[in-house]
Amino acid sequence: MDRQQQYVLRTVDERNIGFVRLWFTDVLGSLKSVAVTESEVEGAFAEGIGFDGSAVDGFARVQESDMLARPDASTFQVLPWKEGSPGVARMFCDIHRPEGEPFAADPRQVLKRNLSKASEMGFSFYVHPEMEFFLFKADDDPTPLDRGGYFDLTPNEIQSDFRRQAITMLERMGISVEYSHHEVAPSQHEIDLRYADALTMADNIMTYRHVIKQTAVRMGVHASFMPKPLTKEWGNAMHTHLSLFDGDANAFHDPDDPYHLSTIAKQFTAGLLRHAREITAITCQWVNSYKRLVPGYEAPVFISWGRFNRSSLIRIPQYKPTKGASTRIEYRAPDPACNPYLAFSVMLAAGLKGIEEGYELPPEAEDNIYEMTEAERRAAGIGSLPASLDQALVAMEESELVAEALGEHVFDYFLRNKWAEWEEYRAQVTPFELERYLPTL
Amino acid sequence: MALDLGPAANPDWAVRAAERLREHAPGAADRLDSDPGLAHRFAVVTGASEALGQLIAGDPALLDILETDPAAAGPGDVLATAREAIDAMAGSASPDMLAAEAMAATQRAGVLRIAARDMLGLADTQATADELADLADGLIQCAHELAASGPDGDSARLVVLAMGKLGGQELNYVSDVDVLFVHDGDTPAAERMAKQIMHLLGTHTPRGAVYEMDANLRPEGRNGPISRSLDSYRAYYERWAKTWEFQALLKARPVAGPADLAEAFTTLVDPFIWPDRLGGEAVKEIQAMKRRVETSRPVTKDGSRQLKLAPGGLRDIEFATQLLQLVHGPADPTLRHRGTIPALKSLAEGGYIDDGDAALFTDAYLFLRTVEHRLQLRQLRRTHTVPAQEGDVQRLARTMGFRDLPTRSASEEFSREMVRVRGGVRRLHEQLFYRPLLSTLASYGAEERAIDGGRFDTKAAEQRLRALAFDHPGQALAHLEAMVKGGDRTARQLRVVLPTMLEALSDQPDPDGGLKALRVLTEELRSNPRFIRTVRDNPPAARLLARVLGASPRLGVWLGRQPEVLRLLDDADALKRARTREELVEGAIGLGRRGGGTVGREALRRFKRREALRTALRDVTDAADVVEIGRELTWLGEGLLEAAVSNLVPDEVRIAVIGMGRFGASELVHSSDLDVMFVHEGPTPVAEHAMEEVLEFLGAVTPEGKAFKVDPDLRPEGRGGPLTRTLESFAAYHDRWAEPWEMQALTQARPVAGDADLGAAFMAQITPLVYPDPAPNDRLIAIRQMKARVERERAGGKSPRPPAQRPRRHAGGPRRGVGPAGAPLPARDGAPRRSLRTTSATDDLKLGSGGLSDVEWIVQLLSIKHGGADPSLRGPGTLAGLEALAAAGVLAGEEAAWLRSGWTLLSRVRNALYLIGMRDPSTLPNKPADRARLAARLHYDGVQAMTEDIDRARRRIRKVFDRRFFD
Repeated sequence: MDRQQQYVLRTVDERNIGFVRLWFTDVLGSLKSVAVTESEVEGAFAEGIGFDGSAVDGFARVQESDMLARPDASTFQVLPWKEGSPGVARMFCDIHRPEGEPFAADPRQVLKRNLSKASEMGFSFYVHPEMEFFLFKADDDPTPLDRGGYFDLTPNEIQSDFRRQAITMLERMGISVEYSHHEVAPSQHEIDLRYADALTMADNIMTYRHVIKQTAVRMGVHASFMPKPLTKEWGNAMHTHLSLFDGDANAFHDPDDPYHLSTIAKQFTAGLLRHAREITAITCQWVNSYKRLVPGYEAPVFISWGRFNRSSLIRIPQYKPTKGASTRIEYRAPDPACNPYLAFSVMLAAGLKGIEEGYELPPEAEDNIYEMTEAERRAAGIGSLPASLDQALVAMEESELVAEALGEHVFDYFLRNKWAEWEEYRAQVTPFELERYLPTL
Repeated sequence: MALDLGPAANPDWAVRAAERLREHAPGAADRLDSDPGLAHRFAVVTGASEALGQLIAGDPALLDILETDPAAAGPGDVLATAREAIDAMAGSASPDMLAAEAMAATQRAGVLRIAARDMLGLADTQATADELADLADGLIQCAHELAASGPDGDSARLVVLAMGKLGGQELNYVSDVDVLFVHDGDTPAAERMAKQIMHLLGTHTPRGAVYEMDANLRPEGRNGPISRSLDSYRAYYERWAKTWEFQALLKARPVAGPADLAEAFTTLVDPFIWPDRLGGEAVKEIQAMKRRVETSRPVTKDGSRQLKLAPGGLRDIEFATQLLQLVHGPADPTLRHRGTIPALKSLAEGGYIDDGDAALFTDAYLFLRTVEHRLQLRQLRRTHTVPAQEGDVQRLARTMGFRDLPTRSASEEFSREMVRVRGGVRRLHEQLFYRPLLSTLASYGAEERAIDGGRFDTKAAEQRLRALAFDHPGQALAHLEAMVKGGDRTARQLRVVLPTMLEALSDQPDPDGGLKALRVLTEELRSNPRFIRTVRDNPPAARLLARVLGASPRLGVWLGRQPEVLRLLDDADALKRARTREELVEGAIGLGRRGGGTVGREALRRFKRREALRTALRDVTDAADVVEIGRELTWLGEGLLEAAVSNLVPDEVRIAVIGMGRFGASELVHSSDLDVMFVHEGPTPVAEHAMEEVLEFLGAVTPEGKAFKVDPDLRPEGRGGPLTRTLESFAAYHDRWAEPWEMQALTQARPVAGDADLGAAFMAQITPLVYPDPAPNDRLIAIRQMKARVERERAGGKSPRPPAQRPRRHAGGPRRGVGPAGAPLPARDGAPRRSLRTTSATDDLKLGSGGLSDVEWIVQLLSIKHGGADPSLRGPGTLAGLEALAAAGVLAGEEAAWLRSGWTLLSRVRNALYLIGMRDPSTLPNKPADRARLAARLHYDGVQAMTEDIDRARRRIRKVFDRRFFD
């Protein structure tokens, strides 16, 4: 038993915590929770809590369904919205097989494996996501609050109050918020988390989504991370700033380079660009994700990079001379409904591949790519992201890189599950079709 | 002056010490001239230690110690001396600093006294270690008194416990001193006292620090509070402590402070160190510790010169002793000693280890500790490494008492002794862990030596077996008992060799199964002199046998029937050598020659089993890869067929045997049958009769089993057709009736035995039929449809009615699972053009998606498609076909590489499944224990690493299949 675990037990004692929720994440990124009483926490540390893995999406083949959830004491937090006594706390768990081996298909384990590969190469991986979401009247009513008038408070008061409350919750759970603001679309918000190592950040994102949803429920509204809920408005993105550190030094920074980017940074970027199509099914995993990736809403469509060009897939944020440590690249494809563990895993794997193989970074796209003709784009060697989930799946299926990054079990399960989603979607007759065809055909 | 250097181990050091003394203190040096006894002792001490020579030169008053033969001093004497020294100190530094300096001086003088007794032969190694511990104890008591006499002493009581080497009274001249504090009363006061003690003993003074102090064995290490109350310890040990912490407590010994509090602590921790029963978790940790010690010895630059960590070093002895204490101590309080030597002694007294072994290890331990002492004495530095330079070794050897002889130098003599001691210790696991088990078992009921008063009973023996790898210790014990019980020669000899074999078994995938197999084998071969000789006279062979049985218990049964194969174990290189085709074919036919023309069925069966066993042994010992195994099994089949044909076919007909399937491909696995077709020239009834005889000759089950199952069902019209045909008959059939699948099967055809000319003629006749140029599209389509239908049927879907002449079999195709077998699958979930794996098909290595048959179908289809135009693509063999297809550019390099490595891996898995005794060698087992054994057999670290590899191989195979098979 280590100090962290002792600290947890002491806190449970001192703060009169009645239940501890053990959180983990299924392959598709849903938060799962097993609650244990305060008296079971110690046993959970020592032996883990057994559960039936076959009941969790993507976890187990039938014959190996017994799983153990072993809490990670360093993630212990009291849940601030469960006030009163006894209180409730949570810890993230690592999933183990009964024999004790960490379970390879646990998304947290997948990310750990990729991070340890990075660390073998001498790097630690830091991320900083900009998480966007909408506030709606209800989960069956995507009416933006801005146009409402439904509530006693004026809509804007509700919304700033919402952000304040959510940020307070996050800070009380030890998650630092960088800044927050109203987004471009009506009723859309962005709350950015301060950069952290990828594992902590993936845990934070799981917490963040939960906190936002909880806060919304308490205020009688509905929060959604759906990538593109409103056809004519901007979608929810999760622009993700990425950097590698070598010890305390930012391995992406080179003061002498015109872009202030090191060779490592360029190769990493080249890796992301080259494998972008293959990893898109993971960073944008829903049928709806691809409704966001269309021209006109500053979402990336083409595979390019640039400094000022907001249509680029990868943007190099402006360099501030005093902040060499903040050199980073911004990958703009992911949406906030992804599984953050898997999304960070494949982004990292693609970037590391670029470093391993010494990929050459293609030239910067300086023009607005949307204004180029198809021929001009082809001449410039600019490809495009998959336009739909099935295109993304075809690209992923061919990818040894993604199979390696996720492990065979997760790779196989994910493809099977997503093909099923696609087939179901394909069979739908949409309002678009009815509107367009029914009157005339 | 004339210093008598005779007794000095290193006279030059003694001379230098005397010169230095004369320089610094001429008066003191004069004492050497006037007192021969003093001079003698001075020469002995400084001849062994340069550091002590310098010490005396710096403080000539120390010579007083050598005035007479110094006496041992207990902790109380040390305490009194130290108090005097402190009282005599005066100076401007803080009182604590002055006290520390006085104690450091006392410590140095104490070391000189002890070294003198050591080198003068007044104390042996054990006594020297005791005295060094007494010295430390006295100084700790002194520091404790000082701390307790301060104001904090009124509000708290503090006990100092010695841990580690001091706790075990196994201190070196230069050691860290590990301590632990427990208190009652006011905690802050107690913590201040503890810190003061650490400061008094550890701070650097003009005379150095008293000791290097270490209090980090406490709960939570350096982050935890320095002292805890009894309650705090109890809470910690009840909830948090790991097995290793209890192992460390094994050595805890109260040194200073109130006796009742010390007693209370001991009473508190005892039940933690010695639980009523060793839990599963603890057993696992002990096993893990054992593995860690065995596998991850730090590779230091010093290698075998390391006294502590090198194989056969001090750590091995200490660790093995502690392990036995932890296993048996819970049930037997007499084993609960702190020191290694007392522990060994009580283990021997209880019968847990043999007296002789205990003596051997005690001697070895003392020898190595003496080397360590003398090594450190030279410079009073902490070192555990025997020097590399010859001159330094010579000096060390002389301090050990070795002297140059006419034939050998002291250092040579010393090095020989080191090798001898180390060699004895290296086998310690066998000796300490396993041998006593057998002595105990043997003594039951037999007139053998009974261990009177021994407490190493069956229960204790089971505990030990469980701790050392055996999941079913009760059964294991029964097997062992059966083997060694009774007074016959075999039992006696087994008792000698079994420890080695048990140790070898314990690392294998299936120790329990292996032990059982060994028991069965010994029962069968009890009176077989070769067996007894092998296991008795050749320990490497005995170990190899144990490894084989632990990897594949089923081979034990075979060995029982073919004891002559044991001969192969005698020579470590015998199994490494591959058989040639000539050897195998000649060997089989030669049986006939020796038998006067008729090969005895039984002789042939014995030959087959012997050779198959040899191949299996090559596999299980990783002496041959899956390709070599396939080839040797193929040649063996060819030899048997050749022998049968030459024996049974009358002169009036000529026969050629055509190998099909994996046999034709020369890629057999252990579980394969021989797929064949026959072609003849001459009277058909005679040929048919002869062939029936061949099948019966090889396939019939006799007391010696069967030779090979020879399967002729791939012939035209299958079972309904004639057993053998003439060339003309084949031509007529192929011309009119042959199905596309039959042409596909013929890609693997190869003459394997019988009339070579006739075989060649057959091949010449079929080749244009199998490889037309261009390949007819309808045949390719038919093959693809056939494959698709096979998969559909496997998936449990409804099949269109099979054609009337639906082949019962085809090469590389479905053998099992054709038809409505297999559970219905969940609803089809992928896009129709994607052939994603389904869960239930995952475990079938052969016919499942991405299985072996996918590879074989790709190769066969492509070779038909392109073989017409390119003869290099024709011919049997999956790996050969892949190579040719890659060379011709039909398959991309990466695709061919994926198929090759995937096919090889899956074939290896099949062979491994056969060897570990799975009934179905083509399906990954469901039971976690079986999977774990499979993974161990294939040298994976864990089951998941294995399934990841298998899954990857199958995904890639399927990927190539999806790309290439339908184009």
